[in-house]
Amino acid sequence: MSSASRSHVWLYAGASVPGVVHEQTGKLCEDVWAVEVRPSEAPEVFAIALSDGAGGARFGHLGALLSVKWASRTLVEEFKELMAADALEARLRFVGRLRRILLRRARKARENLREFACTLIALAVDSAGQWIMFHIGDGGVVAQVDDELTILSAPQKGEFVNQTFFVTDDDSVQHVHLLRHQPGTTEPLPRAFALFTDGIENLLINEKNGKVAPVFTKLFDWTRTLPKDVVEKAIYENLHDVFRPRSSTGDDCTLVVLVRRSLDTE
Amino acid sequence: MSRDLVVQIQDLLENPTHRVPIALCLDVSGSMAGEPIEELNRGVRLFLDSLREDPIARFSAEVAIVTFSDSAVLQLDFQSLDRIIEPPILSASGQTDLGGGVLLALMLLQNRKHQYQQAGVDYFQPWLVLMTDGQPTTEEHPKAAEEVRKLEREGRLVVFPIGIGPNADMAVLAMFSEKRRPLRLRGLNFREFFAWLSKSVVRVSQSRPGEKITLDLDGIKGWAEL
Repeated sequence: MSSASRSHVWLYAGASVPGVVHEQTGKLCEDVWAVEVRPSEAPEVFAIALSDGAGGARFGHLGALLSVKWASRTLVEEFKELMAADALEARLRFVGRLRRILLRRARKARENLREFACTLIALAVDSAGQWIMFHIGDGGVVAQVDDELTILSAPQKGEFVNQTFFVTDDDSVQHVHLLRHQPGTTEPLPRAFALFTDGIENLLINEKNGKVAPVFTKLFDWTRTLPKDVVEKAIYENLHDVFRPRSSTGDDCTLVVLVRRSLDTE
Repeated sequence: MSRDLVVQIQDLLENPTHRVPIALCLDVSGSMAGEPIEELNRGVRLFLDSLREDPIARFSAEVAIVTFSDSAVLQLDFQSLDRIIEPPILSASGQTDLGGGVLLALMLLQNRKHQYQQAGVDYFQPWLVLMTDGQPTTEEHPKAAEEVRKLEREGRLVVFPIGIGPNADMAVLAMFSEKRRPLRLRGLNFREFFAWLSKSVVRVSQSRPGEKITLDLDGIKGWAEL
């Protein structure tokens, strides 16, 4: 579809920095994210997937890497089917399949599936104004609807702060948070989304009172108006210098922003 | 970085730090008089100081101290470390109401969790550190032990039963945990124990979802008879 026939485009920027604890211990940053775009046919689909390898899982980083690659690709390839499926079918088709892929990988390596444990946030939007989101585990998603910031998906936690859900759990299909927005519904299409991992969630949202940090408005504006490389450098430096020292967990910090820019203004 | 592209502190939320509530349940019966109680006091002080030195634990660890002798006494209720100006100075006398001490500590932990929930503060599994140098002189310890084991089994409590000196009844201490056998303090190595304990708290305060906390086993050799 040519840009002339579209009313808007989606732009993204993101960065990760290793947490203080990982840096001290020389470990890899276990946050991973991936982006896929299907520009060749109408409507264009844009997908972002973000994952955090579980701290205690030996191959959590690999599980996260496999998950984001598969999730982002599957969202663009099967967007239409996932939008049309009923909720359980969509969960099974997406999370159920991903879990089986990780299980096969674990068996091949003669490892327990738990060693590949990771969280997942996956979001896809199309140029017609539909979107879908799957979220399992901690981290979260914020959206900008009109000019309001709202928590789209909050971290999933048990009673204790170090308890959450993973893609690899036996019952991950039941725990996945699925949201979809179809055209024709009365809810307006968000102007922007932000996905983030648990290293910085404490600085960004308070799911108990619904508060969202004002920083998102700033990040969304940067992404709408500045070149991607400039914004990604700024996100990286802010994660490193401003967010990370204030992280309550010392965990890896990742922030990915996706904004809708109207072509009318160009 | 361009000054225009800098996130300010006021752009972020100031949410409460995740908390690790730790109840120290300590025997201060008459047999602890003299050097043992002095070393215990030094150990407790070192524990609090060590936690204060860690950038994450200083805001996340919260400590309460319960002692037991003729009865259970709340010496220090849960509060952040910055608010503890001087830890209580413990003195030894009387009998060993171990069960009463544990039940009081459990009640405090439960109350604290309730306060966290009311205030919207996230928290880790609470810890109970039980230290005794003798045998219980009251009948409440089986009931207290049953409650502790139940919470431990459900993953809702982390328990450290520690014996002090040769007369500590390790069989009684063993009643308080199905996952962790009681360890006997080597001599009066309270300071080594509390230094190890503070490091363990730091590990927990930095732990991530799904992470199994492995305790510093080599560090245990520094204070326990193995």
